[in-house]
Amino acid sequence: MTKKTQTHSRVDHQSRRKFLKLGLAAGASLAMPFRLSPAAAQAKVNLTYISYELTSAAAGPELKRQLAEFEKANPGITVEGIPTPLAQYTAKVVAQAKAGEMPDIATADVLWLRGWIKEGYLKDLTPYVEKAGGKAFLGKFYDSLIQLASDAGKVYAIPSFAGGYIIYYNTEMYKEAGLDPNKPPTNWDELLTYCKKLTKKDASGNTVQWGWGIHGQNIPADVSRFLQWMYSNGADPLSPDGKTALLDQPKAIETLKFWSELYTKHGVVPPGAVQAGPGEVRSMFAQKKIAMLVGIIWGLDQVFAENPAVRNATAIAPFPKQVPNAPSLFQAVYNGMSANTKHPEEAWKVLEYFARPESGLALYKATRYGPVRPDIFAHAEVKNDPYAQVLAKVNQHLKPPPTIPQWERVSKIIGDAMQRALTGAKTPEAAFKEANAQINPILKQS
Amino acid sequence: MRPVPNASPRRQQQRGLDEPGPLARTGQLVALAALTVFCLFPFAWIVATSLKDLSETFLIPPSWLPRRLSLENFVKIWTIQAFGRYFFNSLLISGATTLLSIVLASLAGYGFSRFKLPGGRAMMVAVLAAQMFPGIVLLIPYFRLASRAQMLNTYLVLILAYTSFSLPFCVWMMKGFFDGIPTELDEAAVIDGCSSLGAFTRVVLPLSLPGLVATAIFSFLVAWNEYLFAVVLATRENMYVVTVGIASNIGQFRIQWNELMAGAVLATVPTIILYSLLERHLVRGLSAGAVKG
Amino acid sequence: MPRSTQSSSSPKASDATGVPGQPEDSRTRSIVPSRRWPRWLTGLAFVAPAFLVLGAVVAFPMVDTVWLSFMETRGKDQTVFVGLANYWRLLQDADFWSAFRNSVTFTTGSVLGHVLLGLAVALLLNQRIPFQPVFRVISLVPWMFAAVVVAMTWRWMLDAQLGIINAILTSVGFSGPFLWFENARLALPAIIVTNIWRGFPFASITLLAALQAIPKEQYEAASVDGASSFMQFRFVTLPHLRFALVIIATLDTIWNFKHFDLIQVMTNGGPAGATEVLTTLAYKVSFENFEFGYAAAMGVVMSLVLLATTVVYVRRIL
Repeated sequence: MTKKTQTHSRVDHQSRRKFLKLGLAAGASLAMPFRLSPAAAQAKVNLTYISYELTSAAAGPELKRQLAEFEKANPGITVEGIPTPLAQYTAKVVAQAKAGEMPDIATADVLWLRGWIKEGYLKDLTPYVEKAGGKAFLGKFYDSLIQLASDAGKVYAIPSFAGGYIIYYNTEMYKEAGLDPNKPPTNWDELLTYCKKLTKKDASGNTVQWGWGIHGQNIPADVSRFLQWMYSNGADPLSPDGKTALLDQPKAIETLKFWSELYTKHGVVPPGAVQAGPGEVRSMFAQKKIAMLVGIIWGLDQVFAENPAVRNATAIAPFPKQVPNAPSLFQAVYNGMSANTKHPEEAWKVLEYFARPESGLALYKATRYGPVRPDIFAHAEVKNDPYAQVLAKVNQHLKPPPTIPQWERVSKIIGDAMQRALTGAKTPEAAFKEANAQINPILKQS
Repeated sequence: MRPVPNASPRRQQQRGLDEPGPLARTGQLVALAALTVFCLFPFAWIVATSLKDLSETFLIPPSWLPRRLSLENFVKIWTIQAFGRYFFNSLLISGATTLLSIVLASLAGYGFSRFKLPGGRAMMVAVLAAQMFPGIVLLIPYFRLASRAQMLNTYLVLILAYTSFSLPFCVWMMKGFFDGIPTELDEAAVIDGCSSLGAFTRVVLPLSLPGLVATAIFSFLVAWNEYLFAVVLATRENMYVVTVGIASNIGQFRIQWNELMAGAVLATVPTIILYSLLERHLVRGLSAGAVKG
Repeated sequence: MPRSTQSSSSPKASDATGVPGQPEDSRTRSIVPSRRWPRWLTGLAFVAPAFLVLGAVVAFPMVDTVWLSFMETRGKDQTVFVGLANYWRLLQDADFWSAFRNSVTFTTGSVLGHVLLGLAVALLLNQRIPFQPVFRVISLVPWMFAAVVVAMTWRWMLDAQLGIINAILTSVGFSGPFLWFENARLALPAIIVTNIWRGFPFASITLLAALQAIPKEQYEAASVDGASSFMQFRFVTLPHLRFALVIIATLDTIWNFKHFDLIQVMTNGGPAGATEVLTTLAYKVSFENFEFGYAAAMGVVMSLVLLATTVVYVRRIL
């Protein structure tokens, strides 16, 4: 009996030890980081560049190509792209920043750029900008773009691509409705008239075509489009110093009223506006369910891919101005440097490379992402592009969104008000008054 | 009267109600049809989209079948995105997580099932408590810890993170399964001279194989489908997993729907293979002393 | 919950005491000799590895989070100790309570749906049906997808203009279109239904396992005694399922209360906060407002609520 016990325990021990060894070996090998590409030579500087644009089917390959070009021109530097999905992009970068592990270069959208600047995640680029020419260098870009990336006179990011908001309209549907395809609406009254003409019912009384597509989701892209409406009415959501909310002002309320009434009163917008984001509205335009929408120039290709037949019927125009000389809001994406980067000089070289007119032109040609420098529009390849020329005109008069760090938070409150007005839960006046009351305390926090 | 475990497999399959009459049979078939439609409807939509190109995806009114079948999307994600690499990482990490979870959970489940531990109840609740903080809130401390331990962007950190997610339910499930195996069996083994560990590995574990399989499948799925920690803890592309690859198709300005669905379809393949391979073990265990009160 | 049907003569393993030095005796059936330590220590050794791993991985972040909940960040790496200020603020925050209500609704609806649907499917699959393995795989399909995929698919299927569900409903005769995510009253139910679809396989497979362990003899005995199938279900089936049901309910409650991906992708809290739950709110507070201390306090409150709920559930089975 005891012999058996001993054999058992010896077998147990042996197999246990073997298992333990295997386990330790496996664990040790798994703890080693695994590299896709061979380790770079010691003398090189290895930079990391995190961007959600690297995951885009159009922009990703072009950006990678530009990085490869850069590496060839700068033999001592390699740049590793980290394509990161947009979902949880900010969570990832912020977590890295707080642990001191942020990649050297990061992409930031208009929406969270100010917040990141305030929290200190991005490095002050002023010394490098000075060496590159200071004001002369910055002057090559659109002023508004630089304004948004500057705080207290210091610049924190360089714009990568940008574009003022424009409207898409379907010229064939215009012709069918008896409208002149070369005369898109120039103010709100014209817009409403056109929309009514473009909204058609069939024999049994069901609407089969609508004039306008409203973006009603509470997402930044949709709130930005509404902000474009406000700018075209000469209305501002906040005072210039960013300390007071101005949503209770007549012009702001007027905007919300006109905009939501397109849906609630005039019926020129398809049902489901509250859940329509840029993708859904573009799809409806592609399927010829709506005749017009507000958007960005680089959304055109999705429309054409969804329905190649509308390509020849799609035109763009500046957003109708309700007050003369109203500016356009822009959508933009910036590249910045991590505050903790160990290689600021080399990282600056990459930023500078992306800022060249050649890079911007190549990016536009590959993706239709709007150029950030007016001189690109003068280039021969772009001069005959009708879409580009409209954008060039619109870009002459741009205005940034509020340059406060809490803008993401404030825009959510505005989005809530938008949805309340669209669903009829509150009148536009009540919705904006409530939003105002919610925003003011937030603005008080510096 | 105690349920007799481990009876012949055929007997197990006859457990359950008797052969139903015609009315009940119709009811059964209706219910089965409803179940199939309910489960497979979105799946069919996903598959259909993965076989279309963008021009057929957003028709109003929506259409099911593509007029032109195309496998382009599958080719695209495999060549343009590094899907092969993502798959490898996912398989490795999920597999290791499952193994580690099974080993730790069966040991712990056995301990809770067979031994009267001081504060045992509190410990069982503590196992669950490890999972009570929402991931979003734990994210930054987690990241900081991994960073300080120099473990960022390694397989090990993801395996450990995922194991911590799946352990709580694995421990509870295994305890439940072990509770269903009568204690006389391991006691007899112990009397024959086995250590407790020996009794565990030689007697109880083989009997609970089906329970292990069920727990393994769940553990694999939890690891396979995890997104938040996968995208944040992997700081370079070489450590990305399939869920991150799929989510990469959701861009700021456009969503690549067809590639997204193609990725989703491919992602189900390992699960289906795993399940098919392990299915027969599940049947036996689904009968032998499974979760018991 | 005592173990059912065990003869009193054989000692339960979990009760046995290890007495060192006693000879093996078929009457007493005590444990092997040559044991220098009490039995519970062996048990602890079994349990320790899992706790070690869990502890190493989760303990530090949890403590860090609790500590962070007593601080507030004021930009540019300045963290200030604020004591209970964050918790006090939570109590007065209308957004927090609204999100709390939504979380509770979402969790209750999801868990009920999972358990009831899971039980129904398990009962169905437990019968003699043709192609049983095929239907088992089919019933597992919803669980195979990542939350992101499920959210995008269902959001699209429920779209007002582009969605297949509205198309089918209108073609069948309902006056549409249904604006699932526009109507505040429809949005949360729509998300709950999506979540039920996604999560019920866990319940159904576990309950199926439990059902197949119920000995046939008990049903036979009951029907001999004249019990209807409903009474059989109530007095034979349910008692056997009790442990499984409590475990499923507990785990499911925890998972759904802290679920994030699905809701964020489907509605991100809209319309106008109608589907804002605690996790999406915590995300906004952390990564949009950069108030990490406040978010940590939210996390702590969430886990305390879950802890209390869990203790209430599992008391019945431990």
